[in-house]
Amino acid sequence: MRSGIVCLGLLFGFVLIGCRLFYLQVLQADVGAHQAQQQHEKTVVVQPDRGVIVDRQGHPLALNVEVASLYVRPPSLQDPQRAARSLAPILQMPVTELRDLFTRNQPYVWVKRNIPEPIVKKLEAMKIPGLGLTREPHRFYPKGELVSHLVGFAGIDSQGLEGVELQYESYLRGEKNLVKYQRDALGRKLASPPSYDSVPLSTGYHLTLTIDEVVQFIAEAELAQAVKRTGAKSGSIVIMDPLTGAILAWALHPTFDPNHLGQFSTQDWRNRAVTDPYEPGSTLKIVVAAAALEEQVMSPDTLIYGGDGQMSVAGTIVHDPAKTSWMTFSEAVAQSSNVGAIKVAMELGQDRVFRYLKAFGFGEKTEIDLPGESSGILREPNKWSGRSLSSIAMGQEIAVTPIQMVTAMSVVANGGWLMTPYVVSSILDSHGHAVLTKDPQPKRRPISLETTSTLTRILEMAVEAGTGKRARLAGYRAAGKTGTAQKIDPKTGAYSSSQVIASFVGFAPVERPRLAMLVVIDEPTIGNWGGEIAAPVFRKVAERVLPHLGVLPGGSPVIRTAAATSPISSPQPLVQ
Amino acid sequence: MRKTVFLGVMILLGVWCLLYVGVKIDMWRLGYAIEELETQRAAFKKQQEGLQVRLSQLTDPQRVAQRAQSQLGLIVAQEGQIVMVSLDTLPQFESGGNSPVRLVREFSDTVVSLP
Repeated sequence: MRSGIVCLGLLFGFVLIGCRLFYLQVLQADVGAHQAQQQHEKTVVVQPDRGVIVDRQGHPLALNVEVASLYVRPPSLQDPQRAARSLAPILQMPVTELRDLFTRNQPYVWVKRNIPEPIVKKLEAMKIPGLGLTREPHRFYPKGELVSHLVGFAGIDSQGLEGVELQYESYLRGEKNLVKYQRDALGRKLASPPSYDSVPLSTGYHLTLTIDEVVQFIAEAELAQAVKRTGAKSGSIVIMDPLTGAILAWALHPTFDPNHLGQFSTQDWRNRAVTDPYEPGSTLKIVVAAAALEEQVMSPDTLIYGGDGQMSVAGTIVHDPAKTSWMTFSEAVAQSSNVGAIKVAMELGQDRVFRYLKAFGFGEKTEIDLPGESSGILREPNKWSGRSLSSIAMGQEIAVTPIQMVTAMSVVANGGWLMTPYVVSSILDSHGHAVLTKDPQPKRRPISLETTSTLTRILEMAVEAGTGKRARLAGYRAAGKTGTAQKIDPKTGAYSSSQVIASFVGFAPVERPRLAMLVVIDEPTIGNWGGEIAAPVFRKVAERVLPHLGVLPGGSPVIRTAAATSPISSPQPLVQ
Repeated sequence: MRKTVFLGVMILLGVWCLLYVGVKIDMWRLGYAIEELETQRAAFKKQQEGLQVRLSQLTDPQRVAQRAQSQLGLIVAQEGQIVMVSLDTLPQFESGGNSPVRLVREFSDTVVSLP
């Protein structure tokens, strides 16, 4: 009897347990599985690495580093006042600011990001409950100021804010990923089958620029010297491969270090070579001359009366530096005669001048792959005054950007094609496979090969015996044009006699152009002529850059150098 | 006979259980080892990235030029001081187009005065 009762009790107990098991394993199976999954699985957000930016030789210009950032969980911080006092001298932040952060009614607040390693070690040693350090990717520019205007910079959350970083944000950024993994009772990660991770990591694409680090360095160094020597306000040099439109160097001064943005004025960040138009002065005479030759209004030997160096236009007198009576068309261009340019423009008429200016890309964006590009200023002919045609012939009443000017000069250098300039040559995925490769993009052909040949001879004359003599290269043939544009004095609203923009635009070697270059020096205080200020800079840069590109002086055979064998540095001429 | 079969089955079952548990334990152990290696790999990757950053800084043309001038006393060659020699034209380098480029600086007492 007693044993029967015990058996019944045991049976009842087993039934109860069985019922409970049935409830947990069958009826509540989903709930249990979910709870188990929560305990065993962890999901973390993985920040993708931003794509790397390299120059045409593969030298890194923008990389990622891991930096430490300090956060606070205010509800977990026991004594905010004391914590603020102890951290203030280490973080070099005011106590009040820290206290405000520590007492916010939020679960998670950033205290300071991108903290230097020595400070990180001090913070780690303090071990204040509620405060924590986390590692996050941070953009780093190993070359500092080099090519900073073109590369631009990324913000604290690794988002592109300027330059290529902004323009190619969608490629560089990558996608955030949710990654799941299993963990044991101690929270340690367990090895999972490869298929277990929910989403494969999607890092940003890498960019290869057309920029050559060495060419860039030479341009920046010579520009900085020129700006310093002339006491100028600023300066810029843009170097382009005229056959392809690939930008080889993009030097602006003053410059800035994207690693220490706070130390520089926001004005220094401006990518002035695309954003800021300027009156080009006599460098624009290239377009007028090209139009006159293409339209057969002029030939190189056509005689033009120079009016002894002056001419009356709409009630004002235009002067030439030299009192010339008669000159050929070639001489007028080479000597940068204002009277000659005006007379040629008058022969062409305003419609044709306007048409050629548009054909050379002025008054419209070049469509370079950089943000913030300006179209410059080119008014429609119906808005021109009686003086506009002559002013435009001299490079006034029109504003161009440096990239427009160097692109226009490339038309003469490459046989007549207006190319679309570009700074990114290829986009690669994380395995190095090309996602996108850029080919040279001709837009249109404003002038014929014959016209470019004739104009090149004239522009070579300008360098050999004209206003651009100081741009003459040792061992190379160069062609180019000087420009000196008076700036508008903001006080008087009239052209200033002391504030000028001195420039030179040219290309070399003439036989097979490898570079087209614009040098702009803004408001030099010592000297003020383009031929005196900017032309020597062209010479210095070209003489150092051409050998680097594998072009020997004196017509020697082209030799192999790293730069010369780069895939995009050996383009085929576009001449038909 | 039946007892022997039963015993054999039980032994086999026991061995299978031991093997199963042993394999599972090995799996977990290997899993931890893999994770440790993954951690090491990530650390090496970070170290490599750091070294790459350092290399980029060290090869920065601005830095190289500055050190060349300040520590080695080098100067940028002026006009007439550089002679370009195409090695293809020299008899001892007639190996074809792969000859390296050499910039020959002509040190002439009358032309160049190095610091």
